[in-house]
Amino acid sequence: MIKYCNSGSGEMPDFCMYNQNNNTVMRIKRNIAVSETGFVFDPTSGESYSINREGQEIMALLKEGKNPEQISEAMCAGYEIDQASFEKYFYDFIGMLRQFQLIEEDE
Amino acid sequence: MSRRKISVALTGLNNTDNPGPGVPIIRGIRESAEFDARIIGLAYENLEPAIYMHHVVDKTYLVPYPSDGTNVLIQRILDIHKKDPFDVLIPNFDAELYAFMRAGETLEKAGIRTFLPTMEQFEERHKANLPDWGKKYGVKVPFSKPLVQQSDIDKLKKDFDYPLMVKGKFYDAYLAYNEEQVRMHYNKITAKWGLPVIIQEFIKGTEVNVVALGDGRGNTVGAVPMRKQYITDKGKAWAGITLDDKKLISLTDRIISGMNWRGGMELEIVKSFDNELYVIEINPRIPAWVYLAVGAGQNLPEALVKLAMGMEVKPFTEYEVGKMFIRYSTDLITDVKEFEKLSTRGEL
Repeated sequence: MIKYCNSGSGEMPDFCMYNQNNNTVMRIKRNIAVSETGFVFDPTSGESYSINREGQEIMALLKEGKNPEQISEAMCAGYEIDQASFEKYFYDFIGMLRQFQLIEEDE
Repeated sequence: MSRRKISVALTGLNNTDNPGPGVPIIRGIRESAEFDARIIGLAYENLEPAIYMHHVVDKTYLVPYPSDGTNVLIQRILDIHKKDPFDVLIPNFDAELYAFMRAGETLEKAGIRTFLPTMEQFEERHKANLPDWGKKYGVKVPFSKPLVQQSDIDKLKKDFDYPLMVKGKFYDAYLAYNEEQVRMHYNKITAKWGLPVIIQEFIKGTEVNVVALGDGRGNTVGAVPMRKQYITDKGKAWAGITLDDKKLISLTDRIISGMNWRGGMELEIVKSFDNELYVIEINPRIPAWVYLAVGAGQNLPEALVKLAMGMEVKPFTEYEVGKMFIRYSTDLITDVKEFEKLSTRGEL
């Protein structure tokens, strides 16, 4: 299970959560820009990515500071998917964000 | 405010797929709010494109290669200056810098201002000296060794794992996966640039570059980091984007203050997968992608001219992140009469 924590860091809410395997806190890097069209820009690496509508919705919910349960609830209500299946895709998505170094992790 | 009239002479007019920095530097100078510049182009070859770009270069003179002898080159510069005086000279090739640095006093006496690194700065950042340089300034660099004879290639496996980089002393860099490939690149590089050939440890990661300007007193006048987004088969950036990376800026500041770097520079850096920064090359001049810095808010060519003129320059403190450049090629139409004039009279 992922737990949500509020980092309270300023005007733009950070997404942060506890990894289920240890107590590492993960946050979407503050300088990552996500446009309304689903264009993600990492100004540190210069890399950019396109995410689909579903990814965009999840990123928007993350930016709003929603916790994984709330995200799961919102997505399952909007799409024909059960919670267990959604969580699988959700963790894959988080894994991808980590691989692209779009999230930072603190002990 | 009326702009100050100045005349600037510079090389690097080869705006090709392996471009010199001349044209982007000129664009920066022409955009200056303080200078109304007349541009004198100095060309080594009669087909360097900017010679024929009359909205970029006002007048061009052919000059001999530094390999023809430093004195021959400098005498030609002095002759041009006598006939068509200029205030500032900006050499833009690594291979010619030595000649201009050596002739610094002669040029100054003739009233030609430059803003170049000192001979000591130029020498210590040489690819062959990079390990010592890294140790001296506490900067991570790849392990490297100069090769001066082909028989040394057999001994490389003692010190290096493959793949490794094979580099010319001024230009060219190739990745080699075995001794055979090292031998092939060694021959190609020595034929073009001579010895030594530098063998460098290959660092896996993302290459990033920084264009910077040092005032010679340890201060960074400006610095803009960039990642290449599209690379030509010669390894040159065809597109790039400015980055927001404070570690790159602080590394640049540390290098410039440690060396008291004077003039333009380009740092070639590899960011390893564990986010360590390795300096793989320090080019002692402004790179061809400098117009990206101008577009991002740091007119480094203008600042370089001001430093050469002895004017006060306020350091840049910011630039726009996410600014991109994309090169393009175009066909310039000119007349054989222009080519004839340049080829026969040595000027256009």
